[in-house]
Amino acid sequence: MTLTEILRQCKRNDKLAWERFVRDYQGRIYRIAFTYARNPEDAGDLTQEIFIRIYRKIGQWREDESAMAWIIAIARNLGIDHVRRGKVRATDRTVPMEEHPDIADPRQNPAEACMRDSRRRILRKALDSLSDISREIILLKDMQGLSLDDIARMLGIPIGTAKSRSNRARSELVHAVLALSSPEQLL
Amino acid sequence: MNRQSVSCSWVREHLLEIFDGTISGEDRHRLSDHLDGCAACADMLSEAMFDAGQAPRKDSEESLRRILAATSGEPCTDALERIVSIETTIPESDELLTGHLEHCPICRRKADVWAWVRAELHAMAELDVPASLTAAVLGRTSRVEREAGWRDWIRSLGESLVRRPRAALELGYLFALPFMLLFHPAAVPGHFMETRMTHVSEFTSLAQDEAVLAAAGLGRAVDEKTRSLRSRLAQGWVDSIQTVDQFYCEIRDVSGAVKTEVKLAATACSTGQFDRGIRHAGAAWNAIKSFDPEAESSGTTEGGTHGTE
Repeated sequence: MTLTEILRQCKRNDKLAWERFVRDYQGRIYRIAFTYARNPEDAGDLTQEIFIRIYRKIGQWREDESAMAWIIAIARNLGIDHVRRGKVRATDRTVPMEEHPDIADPRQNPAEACMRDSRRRILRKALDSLSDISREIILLKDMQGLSLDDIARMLGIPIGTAKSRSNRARSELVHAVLALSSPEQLL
Repeated sequence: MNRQSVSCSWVREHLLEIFDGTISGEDRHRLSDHLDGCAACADMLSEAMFDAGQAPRKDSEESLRRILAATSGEPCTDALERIVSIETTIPESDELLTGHLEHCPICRRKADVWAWVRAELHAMAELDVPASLTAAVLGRTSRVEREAGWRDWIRSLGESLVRRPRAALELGYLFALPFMLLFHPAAVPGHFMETRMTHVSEFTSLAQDEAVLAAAGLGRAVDEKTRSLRSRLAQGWVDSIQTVDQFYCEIRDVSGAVKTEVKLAATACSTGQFDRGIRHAGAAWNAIKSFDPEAESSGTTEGGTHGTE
């Protein structure tokens, strides 16, 4: 069942469809929320707010527009509000490894896990060092996998601008990662 | 690599073929393997190719950079932009980029970094959420009222109006009113009343005309009747005074009826009840006709005007 079909059912007040939607997409939305909230606790609260907003506004979703872009636009607006309200705690910018949900994966061997942790830490720091515009476009394009067309529509910019912003943000990210890491961490 | 590389003496013996590019594909691979491990042969070949004008010196990378700095500028910026714009792996068909990466270790490093950064970003999007989140979201949304979209609002309004046709008509009139005001000045209430008053005045004057006609008809009928009465009286057909009395009684009745009807017609027209006014005017005319049958022929013509009006 595609996202559009699920949302169409949700629009008709189908509670089972809504449950399916929450189960299937809470991961993505949690990740977006985490980008703005920067700590698991606030990310959980922000995720709930996003779902509530989606639930309230679902009647306003037009079936001819991209469902994912619509959802991410709502998540983005609430995330920006969250940051503006000053809810991001300065001390939470660096998350302790043991608290972070994606760190401890028993399926990986220790060396791989260590390398992966090291890279992710560098990547998070590099993302933090980017400007808001660049970080957002990386989030939308490379983490959420939105098309440039959807991003352009969501941000209200021409598709060419979205593409150039994306390339610039990626270049900045590569430079930031290189600046933060030693050569052996990158191999 | 299982193939056996060529020897240094083989390289010296086959210098001409190497320059001419006539060595076989297998020998080219073996030569390449040898040059990777033999700096002396690589230097010798590089010097020889430079002397023959076929290749730059090994130390010419610096001079290349100087030339590029003086002309097009540093190519690494463009290279990075092209690297990050590629969504998957760098295609081998992109000879310009692969050629640059072959000679630029910095860009090669950036390409490697971008490859794992891209993979990590995708992986980071796949995140296990806290176990209690689903229950919390479903619990909170079950207590939330949904906001209807404008389409839903219009649909529900339409459904409610179907059950209330009168309200629908009034609503339709309300919606139509602005357009009427915009596009049809005659529909403006003030203008409309003005038009109605014009009609009232026209119908009132018509009623007055009818009254004049009725009076004229009545006068004519009286004259005729009097003349006939006189001639009959002179001829001795009528026993005088009783007939005259009867005649004047008839005149009085008809005159009263006509007068009343004309007055009613004028009142009705002045209040905008045109149909009623026309009915009264017609009744006045019929009263005249009943008094003098001669008036019927002209009454048909005059009565036709009532119907038309």
